[in-house]
Amino acid sequence: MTEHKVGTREEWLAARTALLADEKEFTHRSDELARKRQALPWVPIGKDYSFEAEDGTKTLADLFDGRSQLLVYHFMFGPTVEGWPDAGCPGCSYTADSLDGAAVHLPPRGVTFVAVSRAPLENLLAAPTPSTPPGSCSTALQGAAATTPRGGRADTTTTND
Amino acid sequence: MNLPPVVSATEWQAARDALLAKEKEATRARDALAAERRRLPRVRIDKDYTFDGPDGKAGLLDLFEGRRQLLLYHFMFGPNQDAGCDGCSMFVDQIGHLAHLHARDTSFALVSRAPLAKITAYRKRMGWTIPWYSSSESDFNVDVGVSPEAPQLDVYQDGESFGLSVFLHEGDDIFRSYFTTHRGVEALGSVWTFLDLTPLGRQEEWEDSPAGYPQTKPYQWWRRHDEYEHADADPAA
Repeated sequence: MTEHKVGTREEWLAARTALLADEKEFTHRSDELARKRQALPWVPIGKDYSFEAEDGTKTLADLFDGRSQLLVYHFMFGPTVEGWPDAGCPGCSYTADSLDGAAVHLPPRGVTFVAVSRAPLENLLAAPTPSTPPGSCSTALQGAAATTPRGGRADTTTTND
Repeated sequence: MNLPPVVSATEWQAARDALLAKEKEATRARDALAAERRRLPRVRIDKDYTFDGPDGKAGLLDLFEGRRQLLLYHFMFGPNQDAGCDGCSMFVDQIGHLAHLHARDTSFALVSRAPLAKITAYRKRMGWTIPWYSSSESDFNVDVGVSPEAPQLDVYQDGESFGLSVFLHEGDDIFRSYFTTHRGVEALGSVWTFLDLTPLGRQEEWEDSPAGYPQTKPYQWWRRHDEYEHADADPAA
């Protein structure tokens, strides 16, 4: 490993403050992206979908749970995914580990958060319960199995890599 | 409310792809910032600090738990308070399972000025298991710039402030490489990130949203997770 510069507190502060200017520029850039995101047009969902959840069959509207906005995490869990049939995708599990504790703070902004997977509900419920994240409260993410449509993907998805 | 236009899936995809190009540019810019961050000089910690932790007295090196790097969140919890800061509490709710950081040889700890007994009680109330240390008998908080010299009784959390410090060690030598606070900490939290993806945004007054969107003051809408009175309250309703 190359020798990393060790400086005085003043030298560090000067370098850190210079970086801060770049970081703030990035923060404002992110704010601008969020603004453009909010201005994106909307697509009406013209098809009825039904989902299997722990408390019965639900429509897409039901998943909103009475709030005006819905975030759906498309959790990879199905016959073609690593871990099948006992476990969901390791990467999605990694993501979900930080969601349990955060999800409780979204309803106060009128947002419901759910995960949807292609696997049948019995597989979602049978998967070993993830150990409690150190930073989490007890609110668990609500999962739902997408039962329709059977063929192909419901939406075009985009990645943000 | 001046809501966005409703279009066909094809038109939406085109608009979404155009935005995706800008999002990718921002992702690359964030990578460049991280690269710059990794090249910041570091400062040697020349003083011995003693913390009170779940297993008794601990030095700063002990907080690393044998790993090479330490993320240390300065959690606002004044020595005269019975409950820690609500915003810091929301932040901690968003920290995922530490196994994933440990896999990169990185530990995570919280440090507050409140005495350990208050920390232990509050940690139990919130249901957290993340390592949390008291610096009540040490100059640590003052030296890193997150605490006033003496607790200020008329200020929120006795005048404590919050932030994330990053340390690494080589043998017994400990170095501080980074510190961030305010919006730098917001960028680390998934709640803010998720809200930035929603049509209504964070619903905070500073945001540039179309006329009529629901907006309230930042730093005031959140609560400790067991203190939301109307979890179903929907500002847009």
